[in-house]
Amino acid sequence: MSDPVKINRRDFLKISAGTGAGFIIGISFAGCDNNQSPGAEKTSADSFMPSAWLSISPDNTITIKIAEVDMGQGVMTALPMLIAEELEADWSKIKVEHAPLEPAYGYQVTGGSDTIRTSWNTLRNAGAIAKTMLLAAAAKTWNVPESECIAEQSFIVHKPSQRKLSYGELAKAASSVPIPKSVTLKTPGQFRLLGQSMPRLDNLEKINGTAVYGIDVMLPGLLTAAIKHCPVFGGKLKSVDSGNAEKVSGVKKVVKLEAAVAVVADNYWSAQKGLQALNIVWDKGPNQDVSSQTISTSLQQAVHKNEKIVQNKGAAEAVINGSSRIVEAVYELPFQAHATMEPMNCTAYVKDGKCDVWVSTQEPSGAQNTAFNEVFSGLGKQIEKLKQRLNGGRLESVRIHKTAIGGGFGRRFKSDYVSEAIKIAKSVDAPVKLIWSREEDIQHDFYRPVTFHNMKAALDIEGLPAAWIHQSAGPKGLHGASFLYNIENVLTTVSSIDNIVPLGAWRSIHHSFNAFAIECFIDELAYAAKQDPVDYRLKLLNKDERLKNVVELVAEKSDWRQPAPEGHFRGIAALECFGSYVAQVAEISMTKTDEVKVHRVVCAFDCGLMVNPDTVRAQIEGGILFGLTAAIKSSITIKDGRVEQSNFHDFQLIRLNETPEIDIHLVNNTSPPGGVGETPVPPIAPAVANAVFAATGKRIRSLPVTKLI
Amino acid sequence: MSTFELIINGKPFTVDAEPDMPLLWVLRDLLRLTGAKYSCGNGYCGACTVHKDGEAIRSCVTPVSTIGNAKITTIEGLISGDKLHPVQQAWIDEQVAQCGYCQPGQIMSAVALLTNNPNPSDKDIDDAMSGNLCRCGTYPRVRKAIRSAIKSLSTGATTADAT
Repeated sequence: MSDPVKINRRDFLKISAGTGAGFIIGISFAGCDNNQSPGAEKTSADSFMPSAWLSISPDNTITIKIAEVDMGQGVMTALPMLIAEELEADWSKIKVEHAPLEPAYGYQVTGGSDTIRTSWNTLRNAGAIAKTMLLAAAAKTWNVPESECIAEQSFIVHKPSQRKLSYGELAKAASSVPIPKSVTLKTPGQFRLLGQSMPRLDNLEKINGTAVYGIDVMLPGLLTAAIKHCPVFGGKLKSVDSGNAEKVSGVKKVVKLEAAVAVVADNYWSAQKGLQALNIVWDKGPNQDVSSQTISTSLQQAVHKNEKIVQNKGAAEAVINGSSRIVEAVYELPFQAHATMEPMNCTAYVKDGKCDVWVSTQEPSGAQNTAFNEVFSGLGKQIEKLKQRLNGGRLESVRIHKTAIGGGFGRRFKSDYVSEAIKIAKSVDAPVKLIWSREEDIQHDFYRPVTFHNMKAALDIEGLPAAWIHQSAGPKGLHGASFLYNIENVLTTVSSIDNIVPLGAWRSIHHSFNAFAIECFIDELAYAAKQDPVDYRLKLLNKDERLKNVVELVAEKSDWRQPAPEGHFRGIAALECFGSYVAQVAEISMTKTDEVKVHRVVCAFDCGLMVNPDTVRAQIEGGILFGLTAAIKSSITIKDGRVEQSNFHDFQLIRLNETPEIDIHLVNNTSPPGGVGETPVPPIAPAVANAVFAATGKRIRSLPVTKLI
Repeated sequence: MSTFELIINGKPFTVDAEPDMPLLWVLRDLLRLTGAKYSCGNGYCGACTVHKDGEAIRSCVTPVSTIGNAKITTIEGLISGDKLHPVQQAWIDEQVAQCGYCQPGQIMSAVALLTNNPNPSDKDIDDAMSGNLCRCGTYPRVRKAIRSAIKSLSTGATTADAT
């Protein structure tokens, strides 16, 4: 057993239920501002913490409410596992529900690969507290010492007499037991559930068509809206002639927004036809001359400015200036779209000073804030905030209904489409479902930023980097690069350019572009030093065992030391991010038309303790393929101030016939859990680029690879 | 506006729709069968895949006026009673779905493939399934699930528990 965990009693709220509802434990967490106003801006991602409710009904069902959203990463299954492990619950009796937006759950947002990391202790504590109280209740019922009782499979058993009571039977009695002062959590050796691959609890509805995504919400009297945004960033709506649109069968109304027009109709097809019949004049604004070329020029000019020093260790510039063995390279990476399969959509109903919103979102609390600000203003807003305070922080006038989510990847942190849906809904006396077309989705995303990287290194007598300079440039707020290689003199800087393109988090955030520059350049140094890229990395990883270990593992499993099959070539990349360690080897060949074919990806992965190993594997498979689209298929480019791509014909995703064999090797490690969803993404592009160099002798310095060959 | 008599999942439906309305929106907005998904509207991604007389079609680019007497099957119609189709069961066994949005389309393409070709080669699978996009990257498991469904279909296990 591990050391007891002290319970801060103020943080736990016990509700005894005399109405037959059973035993409910609510958990809220220190650091979570339960009274945060929905209208307030969030200050820092670190200050928002998850929470959950578990309730045990008399029929022995355990209902677990999840405040995190599941957009495919499997947390609807993994989070209940944390509670069930410590509760000693019968897994078959677990039911999972979305938590409502209530103060007890804190600010609700899912991202940053942190769901398991932030829930690891808190949800296990919640399970352990419930178990401790059930044990106490049983001991009291039987009038026996607690030490003679054990919890197993949703029963408390009195060992000497073999009497047993189910959790459901004990629910009422447990409600009157005092909350324990401390609990002792199980050690990894005692886990029976954590570390087992459990089938997902939300699988059936996803394969029989009954899962309700935001776009599937149906309500009585529902209208549907289609929208067209000003294609040029920074432009506005100048005028619109809606005469022909209003003649389209089923069209109800044309709604003008500041930089968009929406058509509301009986159904989506009518709304789209209405939209196409509009004669829209845009004020294209000041950005019509911006293109990927002008952005690239700005980046190249900015990169030397060194606006912000991210790391300055030793004397990198001096060492490089005094060296005769200098290697230099530049890398440039484009904007990337999220392209979730479910396009942006939101259903809103504004009536009698109340607003209901149905939306697929990664940030339910953000959607609620957005909705609140759209519905209320001035005095009305102040009255609502007062009501909220009197209501214990619950905002009853704006209700967010969570739905299944057809992909997030960072796009669904934003609530732009929520804001639009409410603006449209306010103009009609009916619930309205706004659906973006794929074209709008691709052209009005919040993109992974474009970046430029200027790399320079001096090699010492053994060919290892004595000094390393990484200057990067991108839109403001760019995150600088870091790595675990043991290099004595390091200078890392970032510089910014003016930018008109909306930006957002894209699966693995800054790691996707920083790792590309770092892992390609390390490879360039290894070749310059005439050393094997794996050996070279291992020499530089003499201070980080976990990363070194995955590099060694991937080398072994990919047969790195053996010749590749005829015509095949390998490249490697590795990094730590989101608290986990990953190394990938890509095995490729070049087709006769000089296209890259990726045959096999071997991945070694160390995320510490795994809750549900099969979903860890699924995230790795998916992360590699997500990264592969950006590596060899698609990018977002700008021309005339707008996005050039518009649908899956020109923003192509990796397809099944292009999917390599993916060979995953998970490291068994009892370190606390690291992130999983994003860590597999960054290495694949540099691993492929390095393999293309091995195949062709040509360095890939921008993506996707197809552009260069 | 015209009236269309459609046979969907074995049941007759009468709908009033514009002749150019794609089957997808007839299913979703008029009949509230939301299993087939909208994603690209151009037949590029396969999320809207349904069967027309057993053949996989992209319902987002198929005008309702072209359906005629053809039998339409959607993901909702694959289950017989409470029994999952063996392909659906394979999808559960291999834990294919992540976000799940594209999966009804993937499954409908896979069922059409296996109905017409019970023993497809790897290339047959590639050809039949490469028009169904998945942003979560479930393709390795789609392949595995199809292989597993081929086995269960060939051994005569035609149904499986829906639970």
